[in-house]
Amino acid sequence: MSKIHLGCAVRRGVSTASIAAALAVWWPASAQSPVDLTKWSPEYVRSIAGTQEFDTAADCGKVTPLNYRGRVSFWYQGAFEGDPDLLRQYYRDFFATFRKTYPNIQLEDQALTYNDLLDKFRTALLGTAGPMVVRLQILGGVEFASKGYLQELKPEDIGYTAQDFWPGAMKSNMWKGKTYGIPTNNETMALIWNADLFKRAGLDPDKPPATWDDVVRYSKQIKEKTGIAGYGLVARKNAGNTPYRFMPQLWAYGGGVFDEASASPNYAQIQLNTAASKRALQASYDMYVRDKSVPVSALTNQQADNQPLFLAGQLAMMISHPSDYDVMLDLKKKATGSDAQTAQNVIDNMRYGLIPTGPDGKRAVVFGGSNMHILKPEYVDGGKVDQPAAKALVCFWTSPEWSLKMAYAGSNPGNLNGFKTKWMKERLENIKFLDVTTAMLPYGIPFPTIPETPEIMNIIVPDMLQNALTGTMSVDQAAEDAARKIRNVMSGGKL
Amino acid sequence: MTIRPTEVPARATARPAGVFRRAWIHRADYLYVLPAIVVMLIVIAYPVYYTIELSFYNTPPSLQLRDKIFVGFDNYAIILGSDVFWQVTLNTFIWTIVSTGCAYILGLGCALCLHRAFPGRAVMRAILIIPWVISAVAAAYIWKWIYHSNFGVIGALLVELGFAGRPPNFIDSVNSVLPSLIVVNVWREFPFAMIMLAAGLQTVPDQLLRAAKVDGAGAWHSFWHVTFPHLRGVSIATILLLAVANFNSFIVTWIMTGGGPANASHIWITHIYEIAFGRQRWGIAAAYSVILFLIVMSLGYFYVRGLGGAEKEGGAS
Amino acid sequence: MAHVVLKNLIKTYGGYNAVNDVSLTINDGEFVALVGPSGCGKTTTLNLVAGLTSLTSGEILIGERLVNDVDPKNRDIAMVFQNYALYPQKTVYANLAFPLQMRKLPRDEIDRKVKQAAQMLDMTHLLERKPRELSGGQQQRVALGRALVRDPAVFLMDEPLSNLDAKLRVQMRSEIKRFHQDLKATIIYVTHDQLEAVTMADKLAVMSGGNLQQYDSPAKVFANPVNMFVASFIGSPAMSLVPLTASTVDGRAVLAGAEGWTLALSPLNARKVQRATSSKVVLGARHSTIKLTTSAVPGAIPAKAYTVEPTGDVTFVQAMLSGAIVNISVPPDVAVEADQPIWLAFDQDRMHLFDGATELALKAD
Repeated sequence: MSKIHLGCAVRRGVSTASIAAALAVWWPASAQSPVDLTKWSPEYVRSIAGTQEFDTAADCGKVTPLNYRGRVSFWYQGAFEGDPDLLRQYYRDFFATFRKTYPNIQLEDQALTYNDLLDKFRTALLGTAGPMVVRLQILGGVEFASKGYLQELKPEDIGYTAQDFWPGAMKSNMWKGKTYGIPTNNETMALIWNADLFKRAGLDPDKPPATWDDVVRYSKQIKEKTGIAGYGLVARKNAGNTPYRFMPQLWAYGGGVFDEASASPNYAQIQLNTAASKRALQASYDMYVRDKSVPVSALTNQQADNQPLFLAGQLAMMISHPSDYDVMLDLKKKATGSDAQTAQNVIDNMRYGLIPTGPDGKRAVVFGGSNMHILKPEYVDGGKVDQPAAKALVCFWTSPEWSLKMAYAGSNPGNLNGFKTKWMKERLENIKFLDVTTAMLPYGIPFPTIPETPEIMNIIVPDMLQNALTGTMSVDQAAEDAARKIRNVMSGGKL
Repeated sequence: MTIRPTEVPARATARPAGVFRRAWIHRADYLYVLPAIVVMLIVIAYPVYYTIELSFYNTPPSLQLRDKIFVGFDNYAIILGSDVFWQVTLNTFIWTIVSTGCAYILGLGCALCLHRAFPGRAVMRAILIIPWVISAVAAAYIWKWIYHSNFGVIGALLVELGFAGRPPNFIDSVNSVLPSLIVVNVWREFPFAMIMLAAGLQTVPDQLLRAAKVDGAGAWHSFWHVTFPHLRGVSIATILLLAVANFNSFIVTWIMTGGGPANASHIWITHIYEIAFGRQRWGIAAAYSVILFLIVMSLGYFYVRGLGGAEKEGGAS
Repeated sequence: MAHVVLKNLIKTYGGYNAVNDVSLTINDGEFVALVGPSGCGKTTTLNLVAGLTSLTSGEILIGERLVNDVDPKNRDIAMVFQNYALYPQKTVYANLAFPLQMRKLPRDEIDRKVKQAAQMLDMTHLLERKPRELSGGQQQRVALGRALVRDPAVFLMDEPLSNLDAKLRVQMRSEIKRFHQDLKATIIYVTHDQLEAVTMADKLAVMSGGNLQQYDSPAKVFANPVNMFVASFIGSPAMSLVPLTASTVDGRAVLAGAEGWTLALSPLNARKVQRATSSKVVLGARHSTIKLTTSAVPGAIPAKAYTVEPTGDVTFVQAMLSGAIVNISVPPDVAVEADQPIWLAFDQDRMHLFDGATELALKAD
């Protein structure tokens, strides 16, 4: 129960008003939601925590009776490498509680890694052997909705309302005006830094870089003064981590793949080769090639590769989930001898801050999270979907209680009511850096909700980074090449 | 009245059984072969057919697979017209030829060294087989860290010993990534060549070696004129197996670099995987596979023809 | 061509002497056969001379040179192997040329020598063929040719005819003998077939158990075998050896058989028997030296025919005497049946007497 001093820093650094102002742009009509999004601030979040009780069994019992006899099959992204032990425990608790609450529903669940889930799910659908219910990361759902694999599913179908969820999250579940899923949790990343390394490099240990240009500058200074890599750039292809860390940079400079950063995007015009986007790419180039202040291994690194580096005090800054703090604690348990000493030092000096802004003060982060979907029966293994059982499961996971618990360490409840539960109060008291996570939520931008997004984000954008960073193409050429590839993809069919 | 025996017209020759008659006689044989043929049809013939069919369709991510659009040879044109394809083709040939060659030579060297008995030979043999039996995935991860551009063991040693100012960049540079991966691949494969060739070495006729010795051949000439020609059959088989394995070698490249950086370590098989499963372009991936299939089959055909020739010449007598 | 001297050769494997103190001298141009049963050390000896196996102790001289430590290729020898050992991927020409290439001779000289050898062995039309296209006899000739081109001081042949069928073997035997005569070559020839050795060699070196038993011309070895082993090994069908007991009857030296009969001895033979270390004496007689009669004759031993083998040219009759089988040859017109009583007369001048204990031939002086 250590005092969370960063919350004070955030409060000092970011005024409530500015958050509210940002929110007004994003969500003008948030008057009817259970929480007042216009008032969003760490104080507000603290004030509503613990103010309402929820009985999950009773609520979901209204959707599907508790003695209902049936069967439901379910695939989801489990807790794996890079996730803290705490999360693993909550996953176990969820399934145990669901089975206890609905003893006559036979639940067949299967956990897969982030990268495997999409692969396996797509393959299963081709063979019409999918599960009844699936929980996919937010990037994935629209592809399957557009192909017609998913049933229509609105919050009202499981006893909630659309206002119970983040508007941006609901947007990610819509295709051609209809809703196909329910958000389970939403998260945004933050900037993590090692205060000790900042101090050794002559920087203010408690002040994160304010802009991305500052990131480049800090990185260079840290490398020159301490010989240690500054920013943990991630540029590996075919890994989900890369777009999550590059897109905030791209949006902050005023660029984007399309117009996804605007209030009502229509994804019509490609913007990856605008001057603003090229500036963002240039920043990465400057760090990797010009200053050499980031690990050379960035081209083959995933975030999981950055974690041990950070813990060993060999990396000063990185962008990641709040749960990385817990990951550090878990990794430290495995360290021995002097490594354990170093690790403890790093953990003591670990700080979280808001993601830097662009040169114009624009701050952005990928609105991440997951949604649950129910498939159409003809694509399910066995040809049938047990609707009541499926709805019971969806209701359970997206309930205030569980959407919070399953997002305990690294994410936030998709169901806004979750912020009002007593467990939220617990979280605020127990979890370090939680304030930062919640404070970043208003800046979240979901990926373009088009079926081509996975290909664009996982392949074309990292490709662009790699082309520029290896010098195979100039920054200009890389951006133009990426824009051309996206044009090909959008026009249907070409590589 | 003499009784003449009735004349039975003699058949000039017995009529040879027709095809159908012969098939009927051997009907049981077909039954025995049937399960294998069924499996082959299901597991090989049908997927091959389906892939070829799919290669003529476009499969955009917004449509279900069954709604694919017919586009004729467009997919082939797209592939053959893309620069990446030619770079990946070059990578693949370099990868296969260099890996196979090095693995063969290294395997041959080790087999020759282990051929004569010396104390600790059995231990040496066991140690040398380890790279082959280790799980490929585990090996790939370990080598990834050995090669790490900032914290790899090799880099650390070189810097410590003063041979380099900074750790060398093995897999994060477009120029050195392919050779670095080839090293890992050869490391994994040479025990296979070593074992095959060691077996072959056992069969080199002793009298021939003695004759060569009497004729004045030293160690090198004995090897070149007696041992090596005798190993011809085994060598051809080994090289064929290695080459096929290398053409399809997925794990090392995919795990260590994912094809990067900037497609410098993509080979055909990883590139197809990325296009099919990363980009959902089933039609293009199918067309790609068909192109590969044709290239590899023709290479294989000429190779096996050469092998058949070698067998006729009694290369491994 | 040169002479070869082997002095006290010993080759030990583990605790066992494969070649045990073998000494012999082979004169220039002589054809010497090392003959003996399997495992007697003849091939090992040949390998020692070739330098393919290292000596444990002893000396080998080729010409006047001590070649103990000299490599095979420098010993001026050529070897012909049982399995021909031709290089399978090379043509006959290349096979013949190989030893000369190893010696780094110029191309035209190689060509000349190869053609010369081919002509000598009547192989010129085979030069472009590969070994697998040749018959067994032709392959053996190529092997000979390959040895021939080296123009060596000594030819070493390791059972070269063992792989051929009987008829071909006979033909090749005469060819090799011709080869020897034309070249006046020094040849050391290893074989387990005593007939081959006897018909081809100038001298026989009979070996057994690593030891040299007797080294002499075939005729002398045949006529005067130095011990029971040589006696039974050389000559086909083998000499009959009958174990008897020496004693005196009426003042005369006799040999007594187990059945109770006695054979009187000539004075010379009596003197030989006196030299025996014990009363156990073995009588040796070749089949052609025993006279068989179907009725009793004074001095003849009574016996019973055990088996009869008519071969067309001559009929062999086996009888049992003193527990040993005695082989007698008779003209084909003599009719003998099994179990028929017969009488055997031994020729005192042509019988052999051996010491029953030491197995050495008994001598009069």
